[in-house]
Amino acid sequence: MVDVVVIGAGVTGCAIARELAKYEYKVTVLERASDVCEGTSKANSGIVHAGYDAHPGTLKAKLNVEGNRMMEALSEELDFPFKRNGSLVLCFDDEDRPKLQKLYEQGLENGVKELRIIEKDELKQLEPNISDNAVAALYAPAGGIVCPFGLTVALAENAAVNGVDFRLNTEVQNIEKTNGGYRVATNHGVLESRVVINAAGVYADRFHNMVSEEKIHIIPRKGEYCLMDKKVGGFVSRTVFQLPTIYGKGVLVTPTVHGNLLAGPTAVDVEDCEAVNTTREGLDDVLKRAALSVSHFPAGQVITSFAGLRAHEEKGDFIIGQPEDAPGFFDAAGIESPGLTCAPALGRYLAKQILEYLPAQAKKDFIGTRKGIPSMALAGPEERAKLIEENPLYANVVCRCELVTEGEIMDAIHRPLGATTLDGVKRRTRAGMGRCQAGFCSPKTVEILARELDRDMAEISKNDPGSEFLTGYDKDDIEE
Amino acid sequence: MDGGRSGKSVEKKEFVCIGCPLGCNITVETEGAEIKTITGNTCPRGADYVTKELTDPRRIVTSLVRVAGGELPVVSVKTASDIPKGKIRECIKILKNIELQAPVRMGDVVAENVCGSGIDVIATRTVEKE
Amino acid sequence: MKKDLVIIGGGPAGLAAAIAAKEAGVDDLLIVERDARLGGILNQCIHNGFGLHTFKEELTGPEYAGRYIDKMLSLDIPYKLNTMVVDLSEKRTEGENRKLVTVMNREEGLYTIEARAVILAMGCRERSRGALNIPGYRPAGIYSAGTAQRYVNMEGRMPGKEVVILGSGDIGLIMARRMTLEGAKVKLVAELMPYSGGLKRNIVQCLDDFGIPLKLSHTVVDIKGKERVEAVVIARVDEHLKPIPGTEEEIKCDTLLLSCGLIPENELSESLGVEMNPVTKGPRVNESLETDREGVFACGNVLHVHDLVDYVSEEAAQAGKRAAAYLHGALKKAEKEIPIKAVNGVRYTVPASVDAERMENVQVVRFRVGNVYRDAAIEVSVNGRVVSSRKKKVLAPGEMEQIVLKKTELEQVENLQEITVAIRQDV
Repeated sequence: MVDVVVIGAGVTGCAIARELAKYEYKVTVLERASDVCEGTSKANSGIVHAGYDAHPGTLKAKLNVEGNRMMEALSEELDFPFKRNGSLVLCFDDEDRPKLQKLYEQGLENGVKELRIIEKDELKQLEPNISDNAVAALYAPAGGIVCPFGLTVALAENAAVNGVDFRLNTEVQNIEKTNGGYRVATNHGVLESRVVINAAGVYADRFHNMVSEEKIHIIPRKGEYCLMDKKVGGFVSRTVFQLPTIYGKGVLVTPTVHGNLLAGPTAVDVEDCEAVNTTREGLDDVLKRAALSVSHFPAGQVITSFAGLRAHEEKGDFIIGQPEDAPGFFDAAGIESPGLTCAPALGRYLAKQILEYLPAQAKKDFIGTRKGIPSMALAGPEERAKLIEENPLYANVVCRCELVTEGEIMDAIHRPLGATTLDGVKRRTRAGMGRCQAGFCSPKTVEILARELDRDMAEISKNDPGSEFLTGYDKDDIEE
Repeated sequence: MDGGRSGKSVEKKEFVCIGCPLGCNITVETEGAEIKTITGNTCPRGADYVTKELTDPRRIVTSLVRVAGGELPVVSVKTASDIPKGKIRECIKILKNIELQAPVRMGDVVAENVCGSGIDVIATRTVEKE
Repeated sequence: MKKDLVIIGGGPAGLAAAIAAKEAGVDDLLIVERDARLGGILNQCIHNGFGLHTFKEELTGPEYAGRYIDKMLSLDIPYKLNTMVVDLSEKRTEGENRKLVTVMNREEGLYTIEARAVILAMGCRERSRGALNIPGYRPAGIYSAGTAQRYVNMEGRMPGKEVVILGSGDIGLIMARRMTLEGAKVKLVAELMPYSGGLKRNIVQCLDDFGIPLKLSHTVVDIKGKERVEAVVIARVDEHLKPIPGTEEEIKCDTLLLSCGLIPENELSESLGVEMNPVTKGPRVNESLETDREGVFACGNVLHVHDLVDYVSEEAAQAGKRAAAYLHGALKKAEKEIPIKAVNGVRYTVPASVDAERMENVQVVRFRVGNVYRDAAIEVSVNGRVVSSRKKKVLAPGEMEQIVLKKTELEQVENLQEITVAIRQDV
């Protein structure tokens, strides 16, 4: 019997788990995939929204502004990359100015600081590459960019270090109400828990509807992205949005916190909760619409594209808290944009509710800070020399494009909730995220993973079981 | 397909000559095993090439052989000169069943007279002990 | 550490350049190689076809590399393995120009070598699925041909069992045969263009020999499979290379190999800020294979992607010789750089300019055409006047060509302004 089961180790589940780890709870996180951060959390814009976009009075609005405010301090506590680079929402037509004004007023009502509408000349001064078609913009200096994997992994590691039990490759199959709480049946056995937190992303309706008669309906909304080479990472300094459409915030063009340029997302409702494939139409759409925001959009510098599914709940807002007919079952459902921004605030918000439901003492020995993996690429000469002196493996370059060394990959594998797959190494170290897209480093990373995990190379996978790279030895299939 | 006086049928075979970047499309008419006509080549090398391809097609085989205790798990090998095309499969099977002990030196004979071709398979690189 | 000459890369280009420099009298030199062994990409090119021009023999990649490595060792040329150059910059003090090569390896850590001259020989990398923007899932089983080649030929492991290859350049063709001989089933090779970029010999010996179909004017438009590739969808393309709706065909497979272009690896060149040639994606060089930074030379695939390693060795030998001349003060500053213009079907030339006084007696100018030409002529013009015309039965983008400029001829031209290399049809 545990106190809390969290379903889903995305940014939401990990944020909640980390908050609960501050208290004397026995917490278990159940994650279907082979690693944390394998769902929506790994395939999004990485934006820390300023908060003008959400409707006032909604949970989205409240948690957005709070999360935005919390992000800086959290990034220092937990050592993940975050930058408050500012956002712009472009208006291309004087007729649309009322829409811009509305966003501005919404922002004020939501408590967004330093928001203002700027005109074309100031806009061009801020961002020389902005399209000449933009007539005005909403400028939100509070907007930021964050590494979504960095944030999620940091929350997860810190939760784990403080006693949270993460069970990966564990899929929840059924939830039943019991006298003491809930019985959660998984593909690796049954767990009894007083409290269940539903942070299951695109699957959240499945679990909610197992315990509550007030059904919810999650519509997976696919967003496709194109990522451009770091060479053009400075094309814009701020995150550039376009005025919203009925489908969402429109296509954005933004630097990433790592120095690439990112364009996207589209917004297409799908049925398959695993439909993370990109499409010709989607990718073309991204590039076409991105070109509306900036002149000479560098479409030729694409190094990769990807797609993520956002969990859009039919009714439009986050669903957070207990359904009336399922006490002790806490939803954190429908977490689409601005879910990433909200995560730290959502964690705190839900933790408060759980403390009310099931009181617990605060831990005296809670370890509140975390040191991330040092990056040779970002380190200055003295830090580099120091890292190498402590561990010569920091001088052995594995990923040449992103300058990631064997020392960093070893750290990624051996730290709490360490990487066991290529994607896990990639998300923790950036190895494989560069312009050659792991063409050079993946055989080396596979070798290191096999060596460190004491497995054969053929057992090393890209992510989930079934995604192993090697199918055998040479001539295995030559008949005698 | 012509009946022909001898009772054998005339067959047409198409080749692309690999002698030079021109890549002439060469048509060969054969009657049984006999070459009747060669057309389409623009130099004698083309005729030589298709003749060889028809009568005794040969290939150099390059492959790998397992090495135990070496700095690399396999060593690259080749047939020292070309062997009959029809023996490639058999040659590969023989290589499959060989495991060498490191060190292996470039030029070492890995399989003698492979498939009775009279040609040895030799190592094309050196693999030192681990 | 101070060195007269640092050669970045110990593959065929770096090796040949180092040997030439040493033979021209440079003793204080160093090859810096990031892999565990010298030889570069040749180590994984276990097929034969190398060295026909250089050695009049057909060698495999490792054997060709071995000849140069043996020569290099016999000349006592120092080298470092497992050493990555992480930065390249310049330092000017008291009229002296030095290159700062920052390197890193396990044994020695991070340090900077101050070099009087540098030869860039870093080779090239492959275009990725991401850069090709092929839509679909992102399962395991998608490899660039070179990565698959490394697994098969150096680790002894198979990256898949049922293979589709996109790209009929030589690397794709070679891998079709490699995978087949090691037990995989190669279902087809798809090629975007209406012609194959590879040698005819490879079409015959890698595809025809094994009954592997080649589909020209086709490309991959979708990849299926969530954890592992389950199928690819190919489609025919039109004259604008755009997929034609309705021509899609699903091919069941567990592996997609991509052989869709090589890109010179110029991160270091760009961090130094040398002038680049947008067509070759390599540094722009003069007749001495020198970049716009004095004392910085380039050769091999980092300069422009080659098809024959023999030409890499030739080019690199020239770079080594010229770097030696520079170090001995025998290479005057380039004063009258005459541009060599690539027009009419010629995509680029290397070198891109020539100084008639500085050049050696004979200068090879290498180039590629942008299309397939039959019964055409390569025309060289000086100051607008045709000085040579050579007939060629066939010219193709996949076959690097060359012309030769003679110093004596150029020196005689009054007020030399421009040299042009062009393709002339209807001759």
